[in-house]
Amino acid sequence: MKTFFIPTLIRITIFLGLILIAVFSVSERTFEPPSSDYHRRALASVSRKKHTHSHHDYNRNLPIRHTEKLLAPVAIVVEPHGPAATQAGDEFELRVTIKSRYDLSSLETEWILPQGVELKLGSLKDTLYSIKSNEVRVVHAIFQQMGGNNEQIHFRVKSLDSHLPFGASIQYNSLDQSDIDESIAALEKRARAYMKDQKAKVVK
Amino acid sequence: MNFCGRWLLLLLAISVTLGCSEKKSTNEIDDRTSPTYQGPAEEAYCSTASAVASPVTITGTAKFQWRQTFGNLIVGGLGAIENTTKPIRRAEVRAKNEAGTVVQCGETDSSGSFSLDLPGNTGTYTIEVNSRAFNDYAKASVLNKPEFNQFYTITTTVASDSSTSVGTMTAPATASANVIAGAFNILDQIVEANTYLKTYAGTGTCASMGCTEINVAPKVNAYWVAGFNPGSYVGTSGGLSFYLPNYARLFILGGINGNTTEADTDHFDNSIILHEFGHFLEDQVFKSNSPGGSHDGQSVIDPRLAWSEGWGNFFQAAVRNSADYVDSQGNTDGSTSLIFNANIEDNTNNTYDDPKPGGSDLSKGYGTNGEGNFREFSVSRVLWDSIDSANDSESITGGFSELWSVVTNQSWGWLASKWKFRSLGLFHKLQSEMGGSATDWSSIRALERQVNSRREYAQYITPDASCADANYFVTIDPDSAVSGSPNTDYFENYDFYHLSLTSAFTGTFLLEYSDSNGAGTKIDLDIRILDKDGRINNSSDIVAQNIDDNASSSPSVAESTSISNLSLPAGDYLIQIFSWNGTGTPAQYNMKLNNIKLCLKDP
Repeated sequence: MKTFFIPTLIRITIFLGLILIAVFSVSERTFEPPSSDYHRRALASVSRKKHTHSHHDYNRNLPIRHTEKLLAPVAIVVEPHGPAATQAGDEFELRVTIKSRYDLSSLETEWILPQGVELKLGSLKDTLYSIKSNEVRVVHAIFQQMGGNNEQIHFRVKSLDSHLPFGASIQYNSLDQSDIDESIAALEKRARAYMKDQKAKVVK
Repeated sequence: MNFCGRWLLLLLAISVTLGCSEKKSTNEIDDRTSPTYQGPAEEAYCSTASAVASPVTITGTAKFQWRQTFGNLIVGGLGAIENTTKPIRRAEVRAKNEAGTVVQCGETDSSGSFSLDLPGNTGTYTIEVNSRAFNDYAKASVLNKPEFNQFYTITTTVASDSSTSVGTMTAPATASANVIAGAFNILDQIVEANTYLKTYAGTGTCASMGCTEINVAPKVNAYWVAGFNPGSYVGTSGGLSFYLPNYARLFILGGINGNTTEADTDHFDNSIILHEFGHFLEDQVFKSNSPGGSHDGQSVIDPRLAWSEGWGNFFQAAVRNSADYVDSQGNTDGSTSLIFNANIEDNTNNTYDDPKPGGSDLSKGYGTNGEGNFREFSVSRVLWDSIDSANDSESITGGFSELWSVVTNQSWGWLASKWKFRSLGLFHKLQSEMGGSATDWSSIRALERQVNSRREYAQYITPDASCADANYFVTIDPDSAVSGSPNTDYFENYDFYHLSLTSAFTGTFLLEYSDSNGAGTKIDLDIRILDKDGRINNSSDIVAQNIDDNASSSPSVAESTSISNLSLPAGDYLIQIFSWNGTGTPAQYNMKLNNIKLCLKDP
């Protein structure tokens, strides 16, 4: 009986532990306020891009000079609107904000979906017309997470305006986005600390 | 089991469960520290063949798969893997014995072929071709990350029983193989850039014009990992390739969060690779004073940044012998499109067409001489026009050698120590004054509304009694279409000067100005003195400033703004005179140091 009792106890404790973790995890995602870390950082990113010449825009966040790629005339930000997906079957809404620095006659939008995500509400392709400079347009869509793996959703825009032909895209990770954002923020922090440390050594 | 034992088991179970729920796809970000990180030394390069006993000769060819961009913004992107492979040129080849010791070295030739002598009948060897070169054709390593400094390798094995060929070793471009071909394409583009330099600026090409000849560029490291976005270093989720000045490091976009088939990548965007290599050249071979930062190709920006990015755009076109500048995202294995496809030959119907009538930057006027000095693609076009053979309202064919002479000459040219805050105006000044067989660029300057002087940016100002008469003024004509504080029209609303102090200065900087017609909205001029880095609007570079409002709102009343008790060590300063609101009628002003007028005078 004793040898039977211990595995059962382990099973029960693991089961209870899983429930605890699941409840904790779900509650954290479900009730995370909209001003989450990802939300804030995404908006800050747009802010840096759209104000090409704003204060401290140069060098972005690192205390070091570096070059940058050609900047698209529009800034696009994707963020979950409501709870993010946590498991297979979850539906989640993504909201994309689009802001152009120039007047655009039309802008094509497209969701690029992996096999593990299905569109439940909204349009895979659309066209926005007569966008004014600094005007914000919003695109919504609702998706369903079909499996347990993180899926990468891409949102692309394309302008065929004769004066402003360009494309741009952004990626959203269905399950891992908050982890990725935390990692990027942590890397930026490490880089800043390292450079500060290196500078101090040079000064010495 | 007692109570404590049960709780230990519970804790164990929870900890195991937690371990399983760790983040999944961020390792490539998590094991990095900084783009400036000084990691372990790169493994020693090995190219010299060693003599071996009873040699057998092993031959082979190294190649890589590749993709190329196609189409246009409507239908275009990065294509499928090409049917034909490209040779891995001038790369390091090593042979290792079964213990992993390097026993022989060599390099591939221009067709990717190699030949190594191995000691006969001594077992099986691993032949590896590496993503680096250090020879007369290129000095470059394509590495994974500064924290590891590990190059990429394709390998095969061979027994040293007899002389034989290992056949063709191919680096694959498939996502499942981590697109290792991307590393070899980056190396190949650096070889290509070096070939171009040697052809047009190597021995015997431009010394007579005063250039510093270049047969191979200094060592450069290109960091790249499939699926990694170097933008992560600077906190952005958007795809980013960049060059890190003073470190001779390119960071090339390998994808985003492990994705290489739908996300933005640059390992097959040769335009981007060569553009960043162009930045490396201006940093390590000649000189850049660019503050770095955002640029969209068409806006009026800091002219040093416009020069730097315009040079990069031009250089990629020169090496590729194509006026197109192309960036793609994804590829046809997933989903693909172009991000931009700009033509730096055409300024008539193009995204980046300013300055021209009805140009894209509609908030500005057009066609004002000097405006082109502040626009990235205008810089690119004029440099391209100087070497291309197309006669699009110009017939300049001065060639790269002449251009290279301007930027590498150390006495009269770009590298003379007296020049700071270098931008296109300085380039034009030097080119137009170089004499000898220099080409007359006046037609292409006119096309692009550029001026061949530093009058619009960073001209020297010097205390000089010779200009101390009442008629010495500079006119500023603010762009009334722009408002905000401060606005960002660096061409119309700002004037910049280079003040070089050979000894420390103490006293007062005075700005006197008056409205041009004494009517309308009065201009409010202000002063900033920036240090040698001179980054506009970067508070850490501001040495002193006076941005007070006008004392009087009446346009008929003359104004003055001063910075008193100023204490400046000897050095170079960027003087910024600017219209705070970007409104008002044109004004005339003069500047004084301790009541002596500052005159425009290049040394």
